Amino acid sequence: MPPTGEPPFAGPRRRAAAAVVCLTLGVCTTVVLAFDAWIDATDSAMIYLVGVMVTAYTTSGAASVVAALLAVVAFDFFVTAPRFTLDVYDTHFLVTFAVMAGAGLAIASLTNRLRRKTAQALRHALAVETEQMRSAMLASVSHDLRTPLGTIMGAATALAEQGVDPASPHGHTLLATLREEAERLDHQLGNLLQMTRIEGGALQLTLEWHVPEELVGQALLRMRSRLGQRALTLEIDPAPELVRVDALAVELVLANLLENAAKYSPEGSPLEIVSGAAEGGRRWRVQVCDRGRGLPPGDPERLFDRFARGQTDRPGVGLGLAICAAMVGAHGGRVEARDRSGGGACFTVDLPIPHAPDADAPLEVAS
Amino acid sequence: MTAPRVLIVEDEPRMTRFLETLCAAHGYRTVHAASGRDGIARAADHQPDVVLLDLGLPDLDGLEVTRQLRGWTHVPIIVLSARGREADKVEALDAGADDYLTKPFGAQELLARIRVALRRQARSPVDGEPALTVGGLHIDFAARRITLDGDDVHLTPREYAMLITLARNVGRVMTHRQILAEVWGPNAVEHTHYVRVHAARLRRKLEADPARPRYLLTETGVGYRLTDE
Repeated sequence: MPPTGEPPFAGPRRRAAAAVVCLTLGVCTTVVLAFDAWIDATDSAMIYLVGVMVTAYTTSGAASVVAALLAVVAFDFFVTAPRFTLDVYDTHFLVTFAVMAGAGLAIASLTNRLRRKTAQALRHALAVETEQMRSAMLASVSHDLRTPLGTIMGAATALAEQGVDPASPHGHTLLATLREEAERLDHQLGNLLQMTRIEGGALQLTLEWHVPEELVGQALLRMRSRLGQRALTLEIDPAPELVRVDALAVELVLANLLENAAKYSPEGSPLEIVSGAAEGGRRWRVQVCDRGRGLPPGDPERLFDRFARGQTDRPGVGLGLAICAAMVGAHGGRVEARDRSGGGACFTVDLPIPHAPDADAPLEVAS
Repeated sequence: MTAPRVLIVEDEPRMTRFLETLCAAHGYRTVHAASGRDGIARAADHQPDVVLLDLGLPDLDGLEVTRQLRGWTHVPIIVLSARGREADKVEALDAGADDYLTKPFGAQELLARIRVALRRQARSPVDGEPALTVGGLHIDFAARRITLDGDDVHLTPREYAMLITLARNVGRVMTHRQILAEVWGPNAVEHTHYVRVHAARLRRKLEADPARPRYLLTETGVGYRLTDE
């Protein structure tokens, strides 16, 4: 056992480094012995130095220093006369040893320094990227929250200050706008709150057995005013009867997919929801499909990245699909986007179902 | 007849203003309390007909206020809380609150809740109505007969018991726990999926479009409500 206080990977990592050192020097020695008739001692020293360089490149810190010193010993043992002893007849080889050790150590230290610098640069790049993502989020969020807020402010001031009669047709339009935009704002704030929960690691699922039809119905209810008079086809298979999910999370996922479908398909074009069992009842699959422009070119997976946006000319925090992916992932499921034959896109949520309980089993057993 | 009195227990001034204005516009008298303790004191002094209780008060939590009020009064309590706090609402409802509203809510929703609460308050608990009609749904409690648009609806005993439980509390939310206790007995209160499966079966018999129900409404994370309109 390593002494206490060692990091947990010290053992295996040290063994791996030792293996690299042995292997490299072994290969160098084999080459030196195999080509013994054609090369002289200087060439052999060069071959060992190449070995040191390889070690320094593939392992870290101490291993490359050890390799540099072992290379000198191997050179002494296998190359200089008398061979296969550590004795040296020709004293000028002592200088060779010193130069070899010096060069080896220099290679080791330079490589290590380079490695540290690279790691630092990578960390820095990552920090910059995170910062850029944060700024992108703030920009996206403030834009998308301000848009409905702007409309609300406009409609409210028109009614309060500009003498638009609330009972007039114009007044009705403004009041309807106020309400719709407030609902939109509420939905987007809900998404934002959910995202911070996911990011902060505070996402706790309340898993209970639910009826798919009810989950779909609740998502539709949430999106009722957003969907307006659109034709909507519902195909809900009686199976699975129950799925084990967090109802609020799944409703949010379906609501976001509906919101997305509504956003990226023409006003009045039909939407479709299909729910059913898959893989012999071990999974629940629910699809939300539209007849819009279909997926943007590129990897469909990217749609589920935070702040990726299908088309940048549409409003909405680029959070909806990222939240879907996170929520579905938390349930151990998958969400996929695909183009649909005949035009449009389909988003499929696929969730595992553990062994379902029997809702008809008699209950009055424990009395 | 004097106008019903609504006690508003809410610490947020703009929310209070909205609630007071809306209540006044619909002919209710209002009393305001900005804290839980104040709310309890005013409930005793003013004998309100309904209490609107915010669950996020600065001093006592709304659940504690509900418990203390229930110690001495049956006044209907409607709790107001933010989305995502379903567990709090269920706790308040199981502790004796009558209904809840999730902020943000619409005026129509609030007025509907107050109306249902006042109607329940006016009726003594033992003296139930002999029948109930909501839209095309008619429930004859005495004859144990359900009709939908004039046609008989055949329900299993469980389905019938669940519908009756909701109908006796028409317009008001019933938590899963309350429904389970009524229909399956007090040992069943953890088995919420029994309620969900039977709600789905009831919908198949009562609703034209079970995913978009007209009568039997889902309150996600809380329970069910038989609508009164």
